[in-house]
Amino acid sequence: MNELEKIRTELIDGDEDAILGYVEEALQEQMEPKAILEQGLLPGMNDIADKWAAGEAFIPEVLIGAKIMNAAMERLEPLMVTEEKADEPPRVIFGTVQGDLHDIGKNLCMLLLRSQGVSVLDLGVDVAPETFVEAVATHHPEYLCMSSLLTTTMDGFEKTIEALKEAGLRDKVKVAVGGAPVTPEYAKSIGADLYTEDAVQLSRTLG
Amino acid sequence: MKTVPFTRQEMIDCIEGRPTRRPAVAIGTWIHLDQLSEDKQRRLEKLYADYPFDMEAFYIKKPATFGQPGDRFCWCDVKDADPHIGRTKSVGVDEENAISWEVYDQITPELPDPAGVDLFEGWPEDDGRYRMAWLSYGPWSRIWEYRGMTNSLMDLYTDPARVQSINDRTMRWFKEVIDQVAAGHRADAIGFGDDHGMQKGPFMSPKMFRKFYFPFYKELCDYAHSRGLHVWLHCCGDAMKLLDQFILAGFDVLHPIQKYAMDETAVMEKYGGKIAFWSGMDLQQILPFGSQEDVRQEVHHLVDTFYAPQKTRTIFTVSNRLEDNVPVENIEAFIQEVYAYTEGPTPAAADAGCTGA
Repeated sequence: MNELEKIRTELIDGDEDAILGYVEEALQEQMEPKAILEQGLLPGMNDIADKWAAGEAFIPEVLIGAKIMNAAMERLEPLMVTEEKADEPPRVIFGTVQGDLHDIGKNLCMLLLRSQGVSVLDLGVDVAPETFVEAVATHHPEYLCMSSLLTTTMDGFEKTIEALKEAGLRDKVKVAVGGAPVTPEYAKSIGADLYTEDAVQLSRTLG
Repeated sequence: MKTVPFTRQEMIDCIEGRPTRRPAVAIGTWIHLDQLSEDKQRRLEKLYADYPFDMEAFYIKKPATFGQPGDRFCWCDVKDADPHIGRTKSVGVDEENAISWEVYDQITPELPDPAGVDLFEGWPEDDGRYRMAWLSYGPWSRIWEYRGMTNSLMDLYTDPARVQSINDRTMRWFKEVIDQVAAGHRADAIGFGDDHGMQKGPFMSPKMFRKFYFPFYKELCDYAHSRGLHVWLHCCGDAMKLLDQFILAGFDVLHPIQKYAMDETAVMEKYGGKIAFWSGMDLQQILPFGSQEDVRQEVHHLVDTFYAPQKTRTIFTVSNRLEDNVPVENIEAFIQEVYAYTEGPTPAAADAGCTGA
């Protein structure tokens, strides 16, 4: 098995030293960094996501895979950039709605998207509608993703969507909502563009 | 009073699988009156007086929140610990205390010593009803308090020895509390929460759970049972894949079998009779947003699913801590309907003024 195959099959085992070792060996064998990413790391993450969907992998495996992926990218990215890149505007903006302080779901989504090279801006927790609107106006993201764990704070989704309309920005951004009490029916009823059941599904949709 | 609460023995019968006259009802643990509006507090206090709980839960006094390094009690409740821990408005509760292991070593050099501490401060006199000593967080929830959720989930791979060390320390504390509870006949059970379930699926694989948490729970349940105590576990979310191990570990009662996360019928088909269920009325949809009739119908569903098959091993409550957005009429409808659907009115109780003694 060559290094790329080892990276792909062993990423789920969570041994960061081993995977980074294979990356180094591959580089020493003059493999292209882009090939290491596209034939080793990305398929490995995809395999983890497939196993997640099948109920065979769980959050620790997804997280450790993403963590190792990010560590490998730190090694590979400087070798892949041939010209100076301007700061990339965020493609996706995340936040937990006003009054809600829970962030694990949001953080999982962002970690997975970043591991796929998607630029993400985190507004944190307890984010007011006007703060979401200002961020959309400033950064022009493709997606605004909002999270809520509590039934008492879910109305933050509707308030933000209304605020986007009032600011003339509703048709400039796609709105995604998620969190434990959120259902597809509820998301549709408030006019959200996207709902996914979990972080892996979101990363596959947006990634 | 509109009903006669269970005696201690009736509650023990319920938990251990002997037939009872109705399902037990014990909601006080999950309703913190001081966090609700005043009107709601008054209405619920009247409800409690009319329908006294069959089980009372009291908090074990925890060590004081963290003070200075080297303090005698300096391992729990990290939130007031180190002012230099990065805490910004943007960091939420799931990651708030995400400290490094180096900081953890500095702030928790010693375990608290419960000797000489009145762990039962504020507990009322025993009135003959079944009592539970509530210990708060188990080992899985405990590691979050230090490391944040994201780190904790990865620690299972990157720092297994550290994860085990937190388990060991939690076990030492729990056993000391059990010893004091049992020695003073203070309670009939211990209880604690450890949230292994997400809305869909558990946080970790059953294999990983077996490695890190099953041994803890087995040892704890064996220890508690050897001292005559039941063990109650709160584990919200979808823990279906772990129920086999919960039962094998020896838990006596499991809360809440969360609606929409778990299939109540499937749970009863596979595990009915093997463990007592502290079945929680839904707090995500029905109680906060449903009508009173919706609530009554759900009561019928829960009774028919959990209690009717064996007429035992069922305790009703709400599925998590009650938020203030739940209409008080719905809580009243829930409690009144459980009794109406299973026991009917008991006029004698109102006259007799019976307690559970």
